[in-house]
Amino acid sequence: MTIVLFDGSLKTTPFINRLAEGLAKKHAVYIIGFNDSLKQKVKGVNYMALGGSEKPMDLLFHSLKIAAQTLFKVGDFNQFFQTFEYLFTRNLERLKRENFNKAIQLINPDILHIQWPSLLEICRDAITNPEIKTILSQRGFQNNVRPFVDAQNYSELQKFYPNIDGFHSVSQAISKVGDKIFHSPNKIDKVVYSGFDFEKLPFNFNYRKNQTLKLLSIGRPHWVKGYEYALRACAILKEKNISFEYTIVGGQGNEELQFLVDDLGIKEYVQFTGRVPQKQVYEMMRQSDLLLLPSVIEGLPNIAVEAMAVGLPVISTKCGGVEELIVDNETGWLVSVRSPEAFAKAIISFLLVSEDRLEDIRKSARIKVEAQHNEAQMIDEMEVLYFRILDSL
Amino acid sequence: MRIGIVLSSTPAYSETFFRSKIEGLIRNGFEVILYCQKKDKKFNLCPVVVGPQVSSNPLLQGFYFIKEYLLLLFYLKRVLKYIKLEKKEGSTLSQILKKIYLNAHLLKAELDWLHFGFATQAIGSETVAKAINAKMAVSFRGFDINVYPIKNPGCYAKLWKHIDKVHSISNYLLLKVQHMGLNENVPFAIITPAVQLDLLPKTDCIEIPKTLKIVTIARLNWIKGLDLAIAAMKILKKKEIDFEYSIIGDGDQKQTERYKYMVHEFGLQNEVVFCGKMTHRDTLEELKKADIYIQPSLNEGFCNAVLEAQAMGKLCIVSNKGGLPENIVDGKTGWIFPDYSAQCLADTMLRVLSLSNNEKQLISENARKRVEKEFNIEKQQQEFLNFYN
Repeated sequence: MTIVLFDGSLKTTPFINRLAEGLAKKHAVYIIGFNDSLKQKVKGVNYMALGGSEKPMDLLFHSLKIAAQTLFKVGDFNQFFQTFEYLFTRNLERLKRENFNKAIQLINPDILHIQWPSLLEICRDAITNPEIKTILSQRGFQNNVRPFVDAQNYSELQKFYPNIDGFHSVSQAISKVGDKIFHSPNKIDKVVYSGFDFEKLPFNFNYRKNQTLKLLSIGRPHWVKGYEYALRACAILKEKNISFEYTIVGGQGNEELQFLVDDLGIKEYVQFTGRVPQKQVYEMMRQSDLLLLPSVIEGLPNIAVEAMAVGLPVISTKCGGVEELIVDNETGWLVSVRSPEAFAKAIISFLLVSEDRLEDIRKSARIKVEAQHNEAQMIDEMEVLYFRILDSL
Repeated sequence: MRIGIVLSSTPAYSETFFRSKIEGLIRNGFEVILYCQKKDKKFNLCPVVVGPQVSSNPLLQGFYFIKEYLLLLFYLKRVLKYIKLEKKEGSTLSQILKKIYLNAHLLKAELDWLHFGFATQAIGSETVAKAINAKMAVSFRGFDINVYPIKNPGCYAKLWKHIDKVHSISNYLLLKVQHMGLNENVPFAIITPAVQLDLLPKTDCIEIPKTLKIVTIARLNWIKGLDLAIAAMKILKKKEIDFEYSIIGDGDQKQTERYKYMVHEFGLQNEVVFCGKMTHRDTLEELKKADIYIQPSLNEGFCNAVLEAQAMGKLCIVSNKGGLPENIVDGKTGWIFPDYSAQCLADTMLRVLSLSNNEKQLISENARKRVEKEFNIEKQQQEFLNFYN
C-alpha cells in the first residue's frame, strides 16, 4: 500500500516519524510538506517538498519541478499551465494547493493521512476525490477547543468531516468530541494510542523523595496547560509551610506566569526555564519527585506517558484522555480542572504516601504505559485502520 | 510655561485623560507640545513633534543618522552636555550615538517641563531633561509599573536618579514605585483619572429586572482576571439566577479562545456574551443597561471603567487589587470582594442582589456623588496646574 503522511511540513513530530518508520518496513511511505530544510530524514521514507511560502525562490523552483514531473507523467498541458497562472497572478494559496494536488497525482497513494484539521482546506480536492482514501488524526487543540470557540471553524469541519473516509483518535475522549462535529453509524473512527520507544525511557529504580519536594511541569506556557492553577496551588503550599520547589520547563519569558509568581509571593519557590533537549528533560524527570499536569484540556498528554514510563509519579487534572492513562490512586492521582485547592490537597496527600505504596504506583504506571503505548502496536493498529478504510466502500 | 508631553502616539478621542489635561493646561495659558512616535492627522489640540524614524534598511537608516546629526549641530552645547551626562551613567560611545539619534527631537526642545506620559516612555531618555535644562516629570499608570518591570528587572534604576517630580494615578502605584527604589523625597502628586460627567447617559432605575445584567469592560487579557468572573458566573448559574454577563472588549486569538473555551466548558454559552470591541459611546450605552458592574482584575493602576460605572450610578463590585480599593469605597460606593476567589465574587454579587431597593439606591447615589465631587475634569485640570507650578 502507498501511504502519504501530511503534517504540513517536512519536519514532522517524533510520533509521525515513528509511525512513518514503522510503516515503511512494509509499505511505500511518503512525507510531503511545505518546507524543505530537513536535517534528519526517517529511514526508508520518501520525501517530497512542495516549496515554502517564506522563500519565494524555493516555492518557484518546487512549483516548476512538480509541474514538469506531472506533465511528464500525465501529459496534461492545461494542468501544467495552471501552475504558471497561479505563479503569475501570485495566488499563493491556490499555488500551494495546486502543488499539493500534483504531488498527490504523482504519488497516487492509497491512503492520505492528514495529521491536523487545519490542513483540511489544502486537502480539499483530495478529500472529494473518490480514488483517494483520506484519514484525519484527531489529536488535540484543533479538535478539542477551536471548533467550540470559533463558529466558522465548526461549520467548516462539519462540511469536511462526512467526506473523510476515516478517523484516527489519540484517545477515546477526543473521539467522542469528534462525534459532536459529525457522527454516523458508518463512521470509521479508531483509537490508536501514540507509541513510545520504552528503551529510551528506562525506569528509575532509585526513586526517593527529596527533603525539599521537587515539583516539575513541562511544556509551552499556553493557557490550555493551566499553569496559573498550579502556581496558585503553590501559594497554598507556601502558606502551609511545605518545603518545595517547582520548575516549569518551557515557561520562561511568559508575562502572566511571571506576574503571578511575583504577586503570589512565591518567587523563591518557582523557576522557569527555556526549552530543554529531550535527554535533559528525562534527566530532570529522574531528579524530581512529582510531575504536575494542571491542564484545562488535553488530547492525551505525551509528557504524562513519558513520566509514568521513567517512574515519576504524576498528579494530573481530569481532562480529555488523561483518565484513560491515569487511574486515581493506582497509576497516579487525578484532581478537578481549574482548582488550585484540589491540586494543593493532592500534593499534600502525596507527601503522606508510604514508600511501599509509592513503589506500587510507580510500577503500575510503567506497566500501564508499556501496555497501552507500545510502538509496534501503534503501527499494527494504524495498519489495521488503513486496511479497514480501504475495504470500506 | 512650556510643557512637553512624551507619549507613544497622539491620544485617541476616547483617551479623555490626556485630552482634558492638555485642554486644561492650554486654557490656563500654558504652551503644550506633544512628542510622539506616531501622529494621528485628526489630532489638533496642540502642536505635535514626531520622533526620528527607525528604518530596517541600513542605507536609509544611515542617511537618517547623518541628517539628524547635522541638524543637531545647531544644538551642540546641549548635545555635549547630554554626552557628558550619559558618560557619567556609564553608557558606551555607540550607545550614546544611538541615544542622541533617538532623542534628537527632545534634545532640540525648549521646555520648562519634560513630562513622560508612561514610565516606560522615559527608558532611554533619562538624562535628556537635564541636558535641555528642563525639569523631568514622569507619570505612573499601571502596566508600566505592575507588569513591565517584572520582565525587565532594574529597568527604572536610572530613572529614579533623574526624576524631578512624580505623577501617579493612585496611591498604590506611588507606594509600589517607592518600594521599587524611588527616593521618598522626590515630590509627587496623585492625580487620578477623571470622568466627563456631561457625556454619560443617566440611569435612574435601580430595580433589577427579571434577567440580571452584569457587565465588565476589559480587553481579553490575562491581567483583567476574566477567568475569575466566568467561574463566578458558573456559581450564579448553579444558584439558578437568571442573568446575562456581557464582556466588552477584544483580544488576540489565543486569549479570545481561552475565555470562550471556558464559557464552553462551563456550559455558559447562553449567559455570557462577548461583545467585542465597542466605541466609547456604544460601551456607555451597554453599560447603561447594566445592573451590576464587575471588575475582577489581577491588577489595575486605577481603572477608568469602574469610575465611569460609578458615575452612572451602577452597583460596582471590584477585586482588592492595585488601585481598585482607592477607586471604590467598600460598602459605600460599591463593594470590594476579598481573597481574589470566584466564590467571594459570587457571594458578593448574591449579597448585593439581596439588598433592598433603598439600600441599592443609596450606594448608587453615593457612587455618583463621590465621582462628581472627587473625580471631575475641572478638579483634574486644576491639579495639573498645581503640578507644574
